Amino acid sequence: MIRLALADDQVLFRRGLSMLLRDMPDVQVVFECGNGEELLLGLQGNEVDIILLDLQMPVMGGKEAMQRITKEYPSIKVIVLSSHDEEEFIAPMIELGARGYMLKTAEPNEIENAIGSVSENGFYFSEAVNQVVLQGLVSKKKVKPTFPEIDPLSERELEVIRGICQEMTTTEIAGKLFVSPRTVEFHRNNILLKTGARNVAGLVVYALTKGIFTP
Amino acid sequence: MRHAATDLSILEQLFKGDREQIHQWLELYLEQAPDQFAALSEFQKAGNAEALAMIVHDLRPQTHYLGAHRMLELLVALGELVKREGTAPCRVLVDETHALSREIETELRACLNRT
Repeated sequence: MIRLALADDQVLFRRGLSMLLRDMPDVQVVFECGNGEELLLGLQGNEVDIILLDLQMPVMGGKEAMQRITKEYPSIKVIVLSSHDEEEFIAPMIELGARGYMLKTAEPNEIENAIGSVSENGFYFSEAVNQVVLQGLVSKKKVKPTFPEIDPLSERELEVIRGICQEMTTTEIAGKLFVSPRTVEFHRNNILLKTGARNVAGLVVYALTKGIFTP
Repeated sequence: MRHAATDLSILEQLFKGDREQIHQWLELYLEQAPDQFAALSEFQKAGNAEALAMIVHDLRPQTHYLGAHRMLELLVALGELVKREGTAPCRVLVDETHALSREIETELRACLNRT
């Protein structure tokens, strides 16, 4: 059972989302709240696995709440749900440790997928968000990707990294390659070690800059 | 349920077709939205770009739920314009959102009366 908390001050949005979540199998909405302060209070008395967090809220916004959560509740995974699709909003939240960032205009089934993916694989970034972040990282050259010279990736590792770039889940990659999810995780960890990338976003940047994957 | 200015299929998905829940949501929207659209005009006239941008930001998710695609396009354009050039050139877009919001309200009231 995935235990969720939902923090968003927009009543109409929250109500719709809450209904969606309540009908999801294996998901329990532990509590809802309208700002970061209420969220932190709620976390004091409740066990939560994933938080759906809005950015722009009164009293305490999502960014400040995220800083506190990362420090005080490091095991909780946070998915940011926002109307802001600009890099200046997305990148800092990823740097703060958000496991996912989605736009509020995402289709309901995408929100369901995101929760499942964060629970299972630890991360989810929608295609729109990936594009914004990657444009910021690569095209604007704010961060020049540098990777150590490495052992070449095996054919199987290349297939796994391409799957990751296509936002496939571990299970989906496993299904495509006819191997177990555990094997996919093994390959992914090897790729992280070989490339020196710190996380999946780093793997995507690596794949793009090395021409392993073309969107 | 598809109408001229809205397409309630997203609400249908969210509420798994539960008419009572959809009606409650629409009633809440009709209670809140007119004030929010009125605030758009007030902030535009007052030259308060930050507040105008914030209201636009708040309106976008609920507009998405309503499947009001034209309104969503207008709000995105308005958000970009106010950020780029301030409130002064936003007048035409604000007026357009007003006209469309009234159309949406009429449509939703008709929907509520019909079912």
